Amino acid sequence: MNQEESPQSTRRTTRSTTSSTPNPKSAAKPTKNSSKPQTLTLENLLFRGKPLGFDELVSSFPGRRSQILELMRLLGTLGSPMIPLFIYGGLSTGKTSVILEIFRHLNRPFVYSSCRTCYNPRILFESILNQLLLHRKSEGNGYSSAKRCERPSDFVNFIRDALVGVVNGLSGKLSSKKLGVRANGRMVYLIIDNLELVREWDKSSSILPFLFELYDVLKMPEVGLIFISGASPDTYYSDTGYTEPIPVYFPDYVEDDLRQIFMRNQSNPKLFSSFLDVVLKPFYRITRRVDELSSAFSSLFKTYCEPLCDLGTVPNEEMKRRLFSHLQPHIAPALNEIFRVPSHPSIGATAKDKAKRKGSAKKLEVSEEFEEIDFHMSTCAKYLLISTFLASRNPATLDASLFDSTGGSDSRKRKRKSSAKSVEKKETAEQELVMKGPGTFPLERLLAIFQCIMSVSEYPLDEEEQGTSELGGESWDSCLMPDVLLQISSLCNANFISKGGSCPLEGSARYRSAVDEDMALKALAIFAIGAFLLGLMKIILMSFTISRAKLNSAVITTRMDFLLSGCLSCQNYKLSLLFAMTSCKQSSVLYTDFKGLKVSMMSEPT
Amino acid sequence: MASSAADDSPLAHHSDSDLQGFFVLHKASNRKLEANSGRKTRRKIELSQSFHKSPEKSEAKVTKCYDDQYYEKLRLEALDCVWSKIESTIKDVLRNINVHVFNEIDHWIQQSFESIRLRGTPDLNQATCSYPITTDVISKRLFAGLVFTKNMEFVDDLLTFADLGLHLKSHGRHVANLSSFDFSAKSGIGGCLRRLLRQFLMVSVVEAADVSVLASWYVEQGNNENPVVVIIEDMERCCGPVLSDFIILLSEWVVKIPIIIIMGVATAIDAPRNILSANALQFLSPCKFILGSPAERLDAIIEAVLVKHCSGFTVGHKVATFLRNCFLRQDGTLSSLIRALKLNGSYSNVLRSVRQMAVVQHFSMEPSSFILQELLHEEESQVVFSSAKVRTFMVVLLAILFCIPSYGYKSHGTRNTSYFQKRSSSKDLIFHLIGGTHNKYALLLLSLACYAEDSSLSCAERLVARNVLAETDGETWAHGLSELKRLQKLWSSVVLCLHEAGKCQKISLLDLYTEVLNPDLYNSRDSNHHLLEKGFRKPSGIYRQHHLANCSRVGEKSPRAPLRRHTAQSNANTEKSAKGLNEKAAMLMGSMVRDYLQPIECIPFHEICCFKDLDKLQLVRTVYHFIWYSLALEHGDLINLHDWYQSFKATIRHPSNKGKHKLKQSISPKKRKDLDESQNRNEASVQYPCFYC
Repeated sequence: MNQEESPQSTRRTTRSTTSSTPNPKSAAKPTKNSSKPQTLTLENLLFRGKPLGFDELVSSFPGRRSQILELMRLLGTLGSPMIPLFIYGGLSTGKTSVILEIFRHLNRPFVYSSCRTCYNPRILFESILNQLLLHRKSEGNGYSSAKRCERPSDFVNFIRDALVGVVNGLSGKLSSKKLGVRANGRMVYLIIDNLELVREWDKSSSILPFLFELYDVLKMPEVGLIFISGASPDTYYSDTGYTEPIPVYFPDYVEDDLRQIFMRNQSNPKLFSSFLDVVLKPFYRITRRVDELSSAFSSLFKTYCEPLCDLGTVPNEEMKRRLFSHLQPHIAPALNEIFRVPSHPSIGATAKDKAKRKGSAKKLEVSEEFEEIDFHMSTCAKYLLISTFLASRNPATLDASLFDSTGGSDSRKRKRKSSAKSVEKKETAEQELVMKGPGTFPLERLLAIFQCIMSVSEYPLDEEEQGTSELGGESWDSCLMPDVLLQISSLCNANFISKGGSCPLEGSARYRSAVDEDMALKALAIFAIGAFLLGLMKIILMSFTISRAKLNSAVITTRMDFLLSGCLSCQNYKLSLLFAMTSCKQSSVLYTDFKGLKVSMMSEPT
Repeated sequence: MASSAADDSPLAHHSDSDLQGFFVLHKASNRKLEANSGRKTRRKIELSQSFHKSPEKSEAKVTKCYDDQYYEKLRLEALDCVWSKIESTIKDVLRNINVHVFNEIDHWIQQSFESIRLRGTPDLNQATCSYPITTDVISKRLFAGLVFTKNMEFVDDLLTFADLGLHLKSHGRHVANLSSFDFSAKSGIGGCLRRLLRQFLMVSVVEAADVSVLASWYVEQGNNENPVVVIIEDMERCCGPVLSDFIILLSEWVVKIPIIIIMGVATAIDAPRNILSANALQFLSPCKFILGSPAERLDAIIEAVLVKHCSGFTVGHKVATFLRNCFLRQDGTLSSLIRALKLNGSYSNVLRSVRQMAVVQHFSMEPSSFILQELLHEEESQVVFSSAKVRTFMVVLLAILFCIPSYGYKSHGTRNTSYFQKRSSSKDLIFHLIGGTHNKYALLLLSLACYAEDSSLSCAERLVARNVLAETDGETWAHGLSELKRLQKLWSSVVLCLHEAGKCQKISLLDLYTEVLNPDLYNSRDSNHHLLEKGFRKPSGIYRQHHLANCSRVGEKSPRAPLRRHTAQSNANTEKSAKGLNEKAAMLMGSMVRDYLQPIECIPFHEICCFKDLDKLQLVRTVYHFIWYSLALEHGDLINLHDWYQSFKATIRHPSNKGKHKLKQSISPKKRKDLDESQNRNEASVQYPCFYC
C-alpha cells in the first residue's frame, strides 16, 4: 500500500516544496527578532528554520521511510480534512521528530503542546489557546495567559473562536502581508505530545475522552488533531463512541537503522564505523533506544579514541585490533551502567580510574580489604542500619533463637531431628524469602534487635581509650531512646529505611530496610574486628539473601580455617558467636563448618 | 568603675534571641544555688545598708559586685562577646573550607554553559515556542552537578548550599535554591515550578506555573550571558517521581533556557540511581563534587576555636571526650537539635552546638567567667593587664575565689582540692588551711575571701577582711592570668605541631585534642602519648613535624637557630641521615611535649576560661531529649527535625507556659501507660523541665 502511495505523495511534496522554498523566511527573521517589542503573527504557527525537501526529510530519518509516507498520506493534500491521528511507539523512536519535520517540510501551521511541559489540564488548554491567539507570556502582561481556562467546556468555546480567527487569517489576510510568509493551506493542526501522561492526571477519566472527542465536538474540518503517545491505543479507553483516531505505529529501530542513525554527522565515518562494529551488537541486545545508546556510545567512543593522536586517521586492520583491545575491558561495565558520574576534571583522572577499578573488583571477589561507608554516619546509625537489615531479611520467628543466648542449643537439637524432607522444605521457604525481597517490621522489633546487637558488641572503641569508654557508655545508656528514634528518622530521610503503610491490625507504621548487602557490609566495618571476621560476616549476610551459587563462591574464596582462627583471635567472641549461629540457621551448606567454630568458641574460657 | 563597665556594653539587654531563653532555661545551676542559698536576703539588706550608711568606697564596690543581677549582666555580656567571636570564627572557617569546591563548581558551570551555548543561542521566538527546537538526544541532556556532602544528616549542609547560592550569585549566575519540601508528592511538579518561578521572577503570584514563563523571562531580560542554576539541597529526601518529572521536564527546555542543576547528595553515589527513574537519569550529564567531610570540618573548627583559642574559651578533657563521643556516635542528632534551637539553622556542627551549649552553661555558672571578656579585650587593644578596671575585677575575683579550686590545686595538690570542693567554708577549715600552707600569700587571700563571705563571723570581722581584700593589689592575679595565656599559646603551638606530624597517620585533630587535654596523662608525666608515638614512626611524618617545629612560634625559649640549620640539612640530606635527624626531631618534640603540652586543666586559673563540668552538659541534653520524647509520644510516630524545632521554639518562646502544664496536655494517659515500661530510663528526664521552666 505504501508503495502505491509513494509516487503520489512525492509529487505532492515536490509541489509543496517548490511553493515553500521561495519564501524569504530565513532572511526576514533575524531583523525581526532584534526589535524588542514583538508581536506574534501567524508565522509563529509554522516550524521555524530552513525549509526541508522531501528527500532530505526521508534521509534524515533512517528506517522511518514507511512511517513518513504513511503520515504524509494521512495528512492529505492541502486543505483536505483529516481524521485524528494517533502516533505511538516506544521511547526514542522518532515520533515527535518525524512529525515536526514533516510539518517543517509541508510548511503548514500547527500548534504543539507536550503534556510533559503542560502538566495539568489548565496549562495544556492555556498553552494551546496562547499559541492560537498568538499570545506570549511576558513581563508586560504579568506572565499570564491570554485566556484563563480550566474547564473543558470553556476550552471548547475559546478554541472554537480562536480557530475561526486563525483560519480566517490564513485564508484571507495572510497573502497580503508585506513580508509574505505564506503558510500552505488553511488547515491548522493540533499536536498533543506525550499523551500517555494524561492518564496519570487526576481527572484523567474526563480529560482523555474529552481530547479524543474534541474533533467531533468542534466539527471544524479545518482542524487536524494529532496525538503522540508512548503507549499503544489499547491502553486508552476507546469505547465511548467518538471517532477513533487512525493509529500509526513507530516500531523500534533495527540494528541497521541504528547504524545509519549513528553514522550521521560523523566527522570520521571510517573510524566510527569500526567503533560501531565493536559496540553496536552487544548493546543492541540490551536496548534499542537511541537516547540510551547514544549516551553510552559517546563516552565509549572517547575511550576508543584515547590511543589515537589524530582523530582524522582512517584505521587499518591492525589499528582496529589495537583499539578494540583497548576498549574491550570497558564494554562490559558500560553495558550494566545506566548512570555514570565522573568527577570534575580538575580533581584529576586518577581518582576516577581508581574508583572504576574498585567497582570492577568488587563484583569478582570477596573483598579482602573491607570498604567502609564513605560518608559520615554516626556509629549509632550504623548499628541501626545493620539492625534494619537483619530485621528485614530474617523472619521474625527466628529472632528469639538468633539473639537469645539460650536459643542456640535448642535450635541445634531441632536441627538434628530434622529430616531431609524438612530441610528441603526449609530451603524452598528460604528461596521464597529471597524472592519476596526484604520484609517489613514494626519499630519495636527493630529496637529490640538493635539493643541485642548493642549489648553484644559492647561498644568497641579504640583500645587506647579504655577510660573514656566508661564515660561514653554512661551517656550512651542514659539517652539511648531519643537518639535512636532521631537516627531512625534520619535513616528514613536518607532512604535507607522505607516507611511502609501502617498495619491495619497493629495500627503502627511498619518499616522496611532499603539497603542492599554491600551497604550493610560496609556498615559492618564499625565492629572494628579483624578482616577474618568481616569475611565471615560477609558470607553470613550473603547466606540470608543471595543465591547459593554466589554463596558457594564466597565460601571458596574465604577459607574456613582461616576464618576460624580469626574468630578465635578476636575479642568479640559473643559477636562472632551470634553471627555464626545466624549462619547455622540460614545455610545448611555452612552448617558443619560453623558448628565446629561455635563449639570451639564455647569451650574458650572467657 | 564597675558602673563604667556596665555602660560600655550596649548589649547588656538583649532579649530578642532565643539565646536568652536558653540561658534562662539553664540558669539555675547547682553551684549558683549553692553559693546563693541562704545568704541572698541577708546580703540584700546589707547592700542597702552599705549604700546608705557606709562611706567606705571599697566596700560599696565589693557588695555591689555581689549583686546577682549585676553579675548576670556581666556574664551575659561576656557570653555575648565570646560567643559572637566564636561564631564568626566558625563561619570563616567553614567558608574557607568550602570556597575551593565552590570555585570548582563555578568553573564547571561556566564550562557547561559554554557547551550548552555551542548548541545554539535561541532567540525569543525559538525560546518561547512550544515545540522542541532540537531532538538530538545529547543536546537534551541536563548538566547536573552532584555535590556530595559526605554526611547523612543533611541539616549540617543547609547553610552550605545557601552559601553556594550566594557564591554563584556573586559570579552573576541566576540561582534558585530548592529544597526537598518543594518536591513533595502532594504538591507535585507544580509546586517546585511555582517556587522556582517565584525565586527567579520575583513575582509573588504566578497563576499557572509553567516553564514557558521562565523561558520568556530569561530571554526578555537579556540574561543570555549567564546560565540558570537550580540548587536542590537534599536530593535524598525529595519525592523521586516528582524530581524525575522535573528533570525530564527541564530537559525539554534545556536548549531554550540554559538550565544547570546542582544536587546535594548526602549519602553515596547510588542515591540518584535509587531515587530517580532510569528515564530521568538518561537526561542527566552528571559531574561529581565533594565537600569536606564532617570530620575535616570539625578538625578545622577545633583548630580555629579550641586550639588557637580565638575566644579564650576552652573545654576540659571530660567535656572534650564527651563531645568527641557525641560526634562519632550520635552526631547529627545533637547538631541539628541545638542548631535548630539556636539560630534557624545557621550553625553546623555537633561540636559547635554542644560547645555552644557548653559556653552558655559555662557562663551561667562560672561567676568569674566575665574575666574572659577582659582577656579578649586585652588581646585586642593591648591594654596593660593591670589596668584599673581589671584590678576591680581582680578584687571581685578575690572575693569569689573559693569558686576556683585550681589555685589550691596548684599549690597543694589533690589533698587541698578536696577540701575546696567540700567548701564548707567553716572557720575551722580556713584556719586549717592557713596553718598548713606553704604559699602563704595566696592562701591568706583565699582565706580572707572565705572569711569575708562567712556569715557566721561577726560583722566587724568581715569588714576587716574585706578591707584587706580591697587593698590587695592585683599583681598576683595579673601575673597568673598572663601566665595562663602564655601557656595556652605554647600549648596550642605544640598541639598543632603534633597534628601536623600526625597527618600522615591520619590522626584527626579531634582525637589528638581529646588526648592532649587529658590531665592524667600529663600528671603522670608519661610522655608516651599514644598518638605521638604513631606520629614518630614514619620518617616522612617526622620531616614535616621537624619543619613545622621550626616554623611555629614555640615560645620564645625554644632554640631556634640550630633548628633552622637542621631543616636546611634535612632538605638536602638523603635517606642515610634521616634516621639521625628523626631522632633529633623526636627528642625536640619530646621535650616540647614535656615542657609545653600542659593540659588546660593543669594550669592555674583555668576555671576562668575552661568549661569542664560534664554533668551539666549532660543534664542539658537530657532536657532536649525529654522534649523530643514527649513529642514522639504526642505524635505516636517518628518526628522530623522541623517539627521538633517548631515545638522547641514554642517552648523556648513561652517559658511562662509551664512545662508541667504542657506535659499534662501533651501526653494522654493512655499513651503514657503504654510507654511506661520503656520509659523508666527517661523518668528522670521528665522532671527536668518542670524544674527549669
